[in-house]
Amino acid sequence: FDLDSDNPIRIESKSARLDDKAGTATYTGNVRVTQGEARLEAQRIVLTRKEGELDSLDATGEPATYEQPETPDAPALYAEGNRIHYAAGEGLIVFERNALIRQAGDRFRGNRISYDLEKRVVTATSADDDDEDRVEMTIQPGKNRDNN
Amino acid sequence: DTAPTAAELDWQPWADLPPSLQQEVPRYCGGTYRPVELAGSGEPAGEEQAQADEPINITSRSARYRLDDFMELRGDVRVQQGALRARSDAADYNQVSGELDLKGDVVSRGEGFLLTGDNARASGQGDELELNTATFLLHEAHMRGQATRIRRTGTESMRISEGVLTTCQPDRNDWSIAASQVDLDQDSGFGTARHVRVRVKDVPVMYIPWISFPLDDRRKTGFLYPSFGTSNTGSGFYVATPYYLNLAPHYDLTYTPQFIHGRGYFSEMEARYLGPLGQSDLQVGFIDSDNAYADEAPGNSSKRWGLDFTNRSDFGNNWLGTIDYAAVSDDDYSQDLNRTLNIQQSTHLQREGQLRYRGQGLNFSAALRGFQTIDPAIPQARRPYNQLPRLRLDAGDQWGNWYATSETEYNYFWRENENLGGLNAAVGHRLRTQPEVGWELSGLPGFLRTSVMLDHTEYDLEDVQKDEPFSRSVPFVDADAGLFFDRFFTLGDRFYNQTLEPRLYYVYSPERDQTGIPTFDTALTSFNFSQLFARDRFTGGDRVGDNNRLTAALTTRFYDMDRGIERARFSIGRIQRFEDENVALPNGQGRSSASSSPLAGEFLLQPLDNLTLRSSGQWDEEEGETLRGTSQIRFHSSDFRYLANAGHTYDASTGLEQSDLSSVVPLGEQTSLIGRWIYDMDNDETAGTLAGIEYTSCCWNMQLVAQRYRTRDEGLDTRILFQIQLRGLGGGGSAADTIRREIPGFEQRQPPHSAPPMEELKRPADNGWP
Amino acid sequence: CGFQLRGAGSIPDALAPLALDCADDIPGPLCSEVREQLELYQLLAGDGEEPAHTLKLVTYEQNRRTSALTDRAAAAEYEIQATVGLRLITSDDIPLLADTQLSASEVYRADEEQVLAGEREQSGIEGVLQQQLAQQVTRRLTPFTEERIRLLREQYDADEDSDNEGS
Repeated sequence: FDLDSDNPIRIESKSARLDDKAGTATYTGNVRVTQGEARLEAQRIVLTRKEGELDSLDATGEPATYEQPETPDAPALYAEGNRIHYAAGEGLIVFERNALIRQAGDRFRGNRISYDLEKRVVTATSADDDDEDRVEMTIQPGKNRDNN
Repeated sequence: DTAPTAAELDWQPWADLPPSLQQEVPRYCGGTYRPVELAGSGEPAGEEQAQADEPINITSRSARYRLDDFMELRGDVRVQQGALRARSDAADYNQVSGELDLKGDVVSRGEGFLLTGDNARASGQGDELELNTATFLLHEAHMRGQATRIRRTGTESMRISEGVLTTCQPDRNDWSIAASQVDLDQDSGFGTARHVRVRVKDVPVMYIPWISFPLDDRRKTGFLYPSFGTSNTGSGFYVATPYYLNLAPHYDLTYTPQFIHGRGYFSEMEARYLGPLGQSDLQVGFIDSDNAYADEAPGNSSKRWGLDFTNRSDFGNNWLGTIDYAAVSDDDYSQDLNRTLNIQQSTHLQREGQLRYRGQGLNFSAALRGFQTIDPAIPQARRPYNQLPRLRLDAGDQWGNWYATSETEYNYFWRENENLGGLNAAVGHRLRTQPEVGWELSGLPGFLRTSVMLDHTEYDLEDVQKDEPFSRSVPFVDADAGLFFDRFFTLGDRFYNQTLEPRLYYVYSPERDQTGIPTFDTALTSFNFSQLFARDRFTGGDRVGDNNRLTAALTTRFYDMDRGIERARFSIGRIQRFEDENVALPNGQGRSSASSSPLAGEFLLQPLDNLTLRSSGQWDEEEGETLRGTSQIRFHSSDFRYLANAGHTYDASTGLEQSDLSSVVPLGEQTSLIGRWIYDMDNDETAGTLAGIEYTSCCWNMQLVAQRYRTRDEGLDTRILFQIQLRGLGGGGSAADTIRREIPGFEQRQPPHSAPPMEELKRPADNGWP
Repeated sequence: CGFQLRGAGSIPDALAPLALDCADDIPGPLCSEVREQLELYQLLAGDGEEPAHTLKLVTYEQNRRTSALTDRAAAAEYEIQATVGLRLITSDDIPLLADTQLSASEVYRADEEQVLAGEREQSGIEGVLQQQLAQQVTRRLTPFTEERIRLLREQYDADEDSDNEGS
């Protein structure tokens, strides 16, 4: 999501609960957050604000999914994970447990995948407690990048 | 500790092998390499995506990826791209350049090979892989080694720099080859190496600037390993190092320079060409300055050569062509320079070009034939005629019980005859035709055949007094009848069928005076049991015998019905002559006035599958003496590793009596003693002995053979041949090859290194990917 | 004394109709002699008749070795051994007789002063050896009674099943 764009962010869900004191909003039941074409769907999403600004977003689902259409500077992206966490300060989206990211023919799967928005760096790690767990990637070679 | 080498990764000790493999892999090999079944290697090779756009599949413990730019992978990294399959502790992938740097414990597996290295770089979408401080293993060639750098391009070729390679099992360094550069090309099945140091137990023993060797046995090559030996007469100490040039899939060249002590440099070259019609094979030997030979006799030139060309061509629809041409510069060439282990000295070299048609009931052949006689002791008059040409036409047909055949042969016989006189000087044309009509009734209980034949020959001779054409016609009438009786009985638990086979054969042909006819190709056939039923006592066209004789013979056989094998056979027969036989060869042979021939008999016993006794001979019961006899006893163990043969032959007419004992005795699994001894009872001396030892280990075998055989005029010649064959570096020929022909049963022995086929060796991929 | 003229019995007709398949390098006389013998025993499949079994003559080899030497080290006696390799399979490719080698040998005098005559004698002997081989080939079919074929088939199927389980 691009928070400073003037595009409105719409949230639909079965139920919602606002807690002004804590500055949190909790939406449960087929929650769908859309901004333009970008879409986030989950069972439960908790938004926290700080000084009126969105500080963090925490979505959980079986799995929670995020889709972002192609933009001039980045190809379309699809991602999912049992938990999706976004912390504005860190500029990082983290997908945890059965995390998967697909972009321009590349594919990442692992226990935890984080995506640094400015540096456009994906970091995938496997579960520390299970040394059989592995991170899996399929990368299209350089040549295919441009025509995807 | 250091990472396991490629060989150690795939090595499975003998004890862990499944029983089926334990039978095929010799225990002394200590085990064998078992490549892992490549997961997903089954995808059809045909539609392999073009290597360029192969996606890379990677798994690891963790990964950092800057989109479209750079990726760092850590923790048991496994990479698969196209045919490349590798793992390492860590890897960095530059997406723009497509280069993948693997670091720490790199292992890469492909179809038929395994590579390891400290670090490696894959580029060109996995098409090229370069490993440093690397080790390699080629499964089919059973070849392993290590090198400072190994570069693999494509799926088939590999370049090894500063490498050491061997085909010995991981814990053995019996021999190895160090080379500055080795190129292995699995596609063509060949390797070449430069600046080669052959090392035994890591000690360099021989330097060879350049060597090429086969990686598989697709191309049966001559021996390609260095061989050396000595002989007191003839070729002295020699060292031969062959080079194999694989010029193209269908033609190759083997060049073997050889240093012979006392004679200098002798080079042999064998070129083979597989044309569309068939294979041609040219062998040439040449020595420029053979001083030993030049000093032997004045006028001997020191340049000596030998040539042997063979060709087989199939022209289609039953037409075949063959060419065999051999020639040498002088009579002693093969004895001095061609150190084969054949016991007999060849006395003639054949030259023949032949065209043959073989059809239904019709055979035709046209040939130009000649010989080079290389035994000076054979007098001019006894040297073979050239047939320039020899044309043959055989035809035959059948109608019910009637049959008709005709054999026709035309020859122009020619040879040098300046200093020959009388009939020996004769040369000329001979046309012989033998039309025959016969009636035959054959069935299970027996057979009856009778026929009439006219043996008609036209001569047109030159260089003899009677040189106007003449002819000779001899009619033949013969009849052949036989009955088959059976008796079935059991002996112990075996069911036998004994047969009783009486047979009568009568032949009549009138006498014709043939004293004025030269013998171009005629002699008396050696007399044995099957000769009793031959139409004539002469072989060849220049003497047609006068016959009025009846042959009576009886054969009994014992068949083992459960195995379908003839366990025993006894045959006896005799010829009853009703008239004297007067037609004879110029030396008087062939004449006989005895009313009955000596008794001819033969027996064969095969009590066990691996024991055979045979004996055949002729007895003259009036004088109660054997005229001629040959007998053999043959034994071999079921795996043909233990052989024992004894033979004896005796011929009263020529005084020949010799015994021939030969044996191969295995000492344990790896060593065999080889021996042969021919003793000449007539001259009471040894005609020839051969004693050898063959040692086989998993990656090399050795033959040490000593031989003392008669030579033409220098008494007994001792030859010692010591040959080492480095497995994987030299296919076929070895001393064992020539032994093969000398000792019956030797050729059925299991070749020492028959590894089981790759498919059987593959083991399922456990998690130890790749 | 128990002998009677040969009837059909000695080679079981369980193999009939039997097809004969000679490889290219099998000499003509050997192949036609075996064909004749099979016809005699009424085993040979007629043209167009579907064969139940096939007898394949696969390899033919001739090996001449020197068995005695003259005092000038030339060959005084040769021994020729002819060996034929054969295979017997059912119409559904079950091997009744895997690669079996039969051989016959004969010894004859060598005379280095009669080279052309020696060649003719050798080709004569080759003919005799091929006759003997043909008889041995035919006789090798004696064990294949109905019952033996059934046993071999069962054993083959049993091995086949154990192979499938094994891999």
